[in-house]
This record gives sequence, structure tokens and C-alpha cells, in this order.
Amino acid sequence: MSVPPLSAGADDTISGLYAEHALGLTRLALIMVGDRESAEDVVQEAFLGLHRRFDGLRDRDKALVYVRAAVLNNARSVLRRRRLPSWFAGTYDPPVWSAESAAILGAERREVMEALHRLPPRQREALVLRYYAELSEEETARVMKISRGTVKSTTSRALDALGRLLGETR
Amino acid sequence: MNDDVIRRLQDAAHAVGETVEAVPPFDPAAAPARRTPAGSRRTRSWLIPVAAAAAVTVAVAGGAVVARHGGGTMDTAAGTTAGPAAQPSFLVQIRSGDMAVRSVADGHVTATVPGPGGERFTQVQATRDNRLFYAVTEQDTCRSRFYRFSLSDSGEVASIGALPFTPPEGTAVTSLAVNGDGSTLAYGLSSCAPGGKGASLVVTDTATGDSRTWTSAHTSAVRDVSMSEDGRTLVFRRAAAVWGTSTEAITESAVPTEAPPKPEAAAEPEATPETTSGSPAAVESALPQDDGDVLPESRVTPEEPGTAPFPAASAEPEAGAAPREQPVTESAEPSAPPLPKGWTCLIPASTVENPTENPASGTTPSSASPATGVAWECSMSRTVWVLDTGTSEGLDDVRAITLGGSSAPTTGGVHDVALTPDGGRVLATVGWSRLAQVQGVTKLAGAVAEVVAYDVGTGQAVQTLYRDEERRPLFERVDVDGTGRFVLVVGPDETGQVTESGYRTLFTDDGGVARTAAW
Repeated sequence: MSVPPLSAGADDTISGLYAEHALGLTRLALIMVGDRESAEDVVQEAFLGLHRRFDGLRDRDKALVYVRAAVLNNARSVLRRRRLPSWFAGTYDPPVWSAESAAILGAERREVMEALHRLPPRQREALVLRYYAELSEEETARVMKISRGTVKSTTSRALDALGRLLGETR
Repeated sequence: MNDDVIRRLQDAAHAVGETVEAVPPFDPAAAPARRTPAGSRRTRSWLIPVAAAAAVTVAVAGGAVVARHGGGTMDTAAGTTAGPAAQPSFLVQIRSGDMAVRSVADGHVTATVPGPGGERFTQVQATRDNRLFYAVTEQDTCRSRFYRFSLSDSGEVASIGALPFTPPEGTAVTSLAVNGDGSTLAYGLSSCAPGGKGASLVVTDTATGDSRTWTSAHTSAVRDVSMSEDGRTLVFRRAAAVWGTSTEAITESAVPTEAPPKPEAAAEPEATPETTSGSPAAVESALPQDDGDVLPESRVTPEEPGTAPFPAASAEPEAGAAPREQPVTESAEPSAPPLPKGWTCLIPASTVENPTENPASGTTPSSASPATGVAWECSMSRTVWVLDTGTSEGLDDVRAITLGGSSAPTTGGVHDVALTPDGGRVLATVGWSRLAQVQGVTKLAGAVAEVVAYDVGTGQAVQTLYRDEERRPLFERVDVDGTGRFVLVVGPDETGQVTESGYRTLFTDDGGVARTAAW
């Protein structure tokens, strides 16, 4: 594919962002899509997108918000694609929290991950950004392109739903 | 209460994230579509034709079901009543929201039914003839829908369609059962609303949609519901359907030095809760019941002395507040992990490494000394509720039995139950496993899996249909066919059948999520 020429320093900035955040973002993507290869692709694609439009995203903070949002969007696309018949979706490894890995993660964690993946995408994303990536409500709102109040209500609903799915009896 | 959910979420997400330790370098010149890692065993189409994808999305939208290899008509009139009971030729499996029909003879998939539109299949049940099935879907918005489908003699989907009635919006179907001829459905309902209270059990005439509802003041969901062939007797459970391992940090000095106790020893009736570290012991969670929402297990039929594998124990009062992974302290004794009431935990004898870092930041702080933890194996309540549709009034007045008296003393946890067609026996998959995880290596420290038949009147075991002391993981689901002679068991990586002649593997799985199966 053709890579547009970048102004001096852009590559350094992107490399710096990648070095600092790629691992964390890949882990976040893994939680979203379940298998490592898809997670790595999701992150690579997000940084590719940043690379393509970096001139509009010179601000490092904006670039980070862009990459995080792109990871979520790409992960959502991956999941959507998997809902299609397999001749469209292709094949992919089972989630790392499935049976093969259950011995490592533990059955309870598997249960939590399965419950997390039964939530609506926005709720799942809000929970993961807030409590896994430990972003503030403000940061989460920017990444998800929703208001801070919506982050709050979405997170609250998501926690209730997750608790219900986990069979909380209290 | 949300703190506990957050903590469990963080624990699980961090554990998943930590399976990635490094990422490949960023290569702007390589599009992901063409990035083919060495040794990849997959051929994956990363980029799908947009037009084709859109077409498929339209095709499956609006509740229409597209069954592959099966015709997939929306004919709801055909095949609405089951024929006589027949030995199962097919089973229907749910994996990750889609259904697959498989041949019992060789395990091959004869048809697949993807979840229609935004719906995911969550439950499936077979009528007695093994040709007429019912399924439930769930949508993100907590809308559920019932589907009826029939199979041809070659295992293709002959007809499929949504039933004209649905559960109320804002409720989730927590379990599904069908009577012998398919004229009656029974299902558990729980409110999806935040803070929503009350669970119910509904019995519906599939032809008219006429329903009768038994309601409860308690929030515990109605799970694992199963119905006799005549539709008169229902069994179900109301415990949280989570079978889990939890981890609690302790000091090195508290790690038991003895060998792990034998499975049998762990469940001896004479085991006491006050045993020393490293010896088998059992604790039952004792969470405060301050909001009155917890199902009163005191209604449980008292067990005969000496039949309880786990004596009621003096759990630490701190159980409800104990963090799953706490900083290493000087505390010597591991205390009970936080659990819903009705769970039982074996005190373990294994260590777990808990590396501490912040995966989200991508940085790895210099970890001082990794915490040493203990893996707990916990299991669900052995209480089963028996509802007589002729006499039972409210869901909280239903008779409870406690499954017990198994020939083996290792009946640690009950995973799933199914009622035989005659309504006389409760079949249950029971057992437990213990994992020892040391320095990232997980080893099996002991496991027992059983399929046991219990008398529906007394809860006492009448026959052990199958027993395996090697198996790992354990069976998660059980179903019985219309003849009552063929028992289907589903484990995380294997589905098999138990008959008079023993256990037979039907097929092994690559491990989809939320699996279940019926025949």
C-alpha cells in the first residue's frame, strides 16, 4: 500500500506513541476481540490510520485519543464480522478465555469475560476503558465520542447488567 | 455491590491482558490484510467485500433466520407437535450465539443457524422426538424471542420461525424447558432493569401463548429449569450459576507444605472447618443478608446427618469484603473468598503467582516480590427446587430438595440438573476439580466428575451413572432425551453421552463461549 510522505518528526512521534501504548492497546483489544492475532491487527490498523492522517493530529493527546478510538472501532468491526456466516468472517482462534485457556485464567474469570461479551458493545467499551484502562470519565468520553454524562450512565447500566449476568444475588 | 463486580471485571481483564507480553514492531508499510505471521494455522479473510457483507446483514436483519444447508423457511405452521419419543439422532449445540445441528453418530455438523440480526441464541431444548426443538434468543436491548424449528431425518433444518409471543421487554430468559410433545414451554425470567427485583417462572402454551407465572420476591434467577414429559413437574435451581476459581493472596509461610489432599479426603463428612493449613477443609460463604434479597436457603430440606460432604462451617465474617487479591500480609490463614450464599469452597493447597503491573499503560513497574496466592475451587449449591404445576402457588413456596447421599462422598458441586421424562429422577452433573498453579504452570491437583441420578422426592442418590476421576474440565451441562435412556453431557472441550454401556465422546470442541446443547 502507498504510504503518504510525512513531515519530519511525525514518524518519531508515532514511534514514540507506539512504543508507549501499543502493548496496553493490544491488551485492551485482546479483551475486546478475544484472540491475539486479531488484537494485534486491530492495533496495527489503528496506528496505520494515525500514520495516514497524522498531519491533522499533530497534537500528541489528540493522536492518542484517535488511536484509542480506532482500536475500539476496529475491534467492533472484527466482532461484527464474526456474526456473519463463516465464509465471510473467516476463521479465528477461540477467545483466550475459552476452554483451552481456562486452566490458566480460571473458570471464574472466564465467566466474567463471557458475561462482559454479552453486554452491548458501548457498555462493554465503557467498562473496559473506565476500569481496565483506567481512563477518567472525561478521557473515556473523548475516546467514545459521547458526553461525560452518557459515560456515567452507560457505565452504571453496564455494571448493573454485568452484575446481573454474573448472577449476583445481592 | 458494584465494587465487587468492578473488582471481578478488573481481575479477569488484567488476567486476559497479561497473556500478551510483547507486541510486534509497527510497520507502516505492511497492511494488516497482508500480515501473515509465521506458523499461522489459519487462512483468514481480513478484508471482506463491503457489498457482500452489507447484503448479508440485510438478509439476517429483522428477525429472519437463515439456516445454512437447511432451506430456512419461516413456516411456523409445519411440525408444531412432536412425535413419539425416539432415541436421539441429532443434538443442537449453541456456541457464541449461533446454533449447530450435529449428528450423534459421528458428530458432524448437519446444519447451522446463525443468530438472526442482533439476536443471539442462548438456550435450546428438544422435545421427545428429537426432531422438534425450541430455542431462545436474546438481544442487546434485553429483548428475547422464542423460536421453534424442526429437523429433517438427515439433520437439516426443515422449518424455523419465531413464536408469535415474546417475554416482556426488559426481561431476560434465564433458562428454558419444554415438555414431551412441545405444547408447553417453561422458562425463568429475570428483570433487566437496574435494581430490578423479582424472578419468575413462566409456563406457556406454545399454541395459544396463554401463560401461568409463578413469581418470587427474591432476585435469584431461575436457572437450569427442566420439565417432565407431561409438563406437570418442573425442577430448577436458584443459585448463581457460576462455577469459579478465585484467588487470594497469602504469605509464603502460609502456603501448605503438605501434598494436596486427595479428592476423597477433601469431602469426607468428618472434615472440619478448623483444620490446619494444608489439610482439607471446607467453608461455606456467609454473606450478610441485609437487604432481604437473598434466597433463604433455610427452606432447604434438612439433610440427614452424615450425608453432607461439606459441613456447615464458620466462614470468616470478612468474607464479603475480602478483596480477591490483596497485598501480601502477615496473615497466616487464607480466609474464604467472597461468594454468594450457597457456595462451598474447598481450602486449597496450591500457589499462584500474581504478577503486578498495569497492563493498560503498557509499562511494567519493577515488581518487587510477586504475591503468592491460593487457588480456590468453589461450587454451586446442591439445592434443587421442585414445582408441581398442579399444586404449587408461589415460587417461594416450592419444595426444595438437597441432592446428597451419593455413593461417592465427593459430591462437591452440582453443575447442572435435568429431570427425566417420567418426572421421577433428577440427573445431575456433579464433581469438582482443583488446579495448582505454580509459576505460571497450571497442574491438575485432583478432579472427580460424576453423573448421578437422584430421587425427585427425597433428593437422595439412587444411581451413579458415570464416574470419572481423571476428567478435566468437568461437565457443565446435562440433558436427557425423550426416552430417558440417553444422557447428554457437555464439557468445555468435549460433548459426550452417558448410557447404560458407559461414556462415549460424541465430538470435541474448539471451545466457543457460552456453550450448551440439547437432544
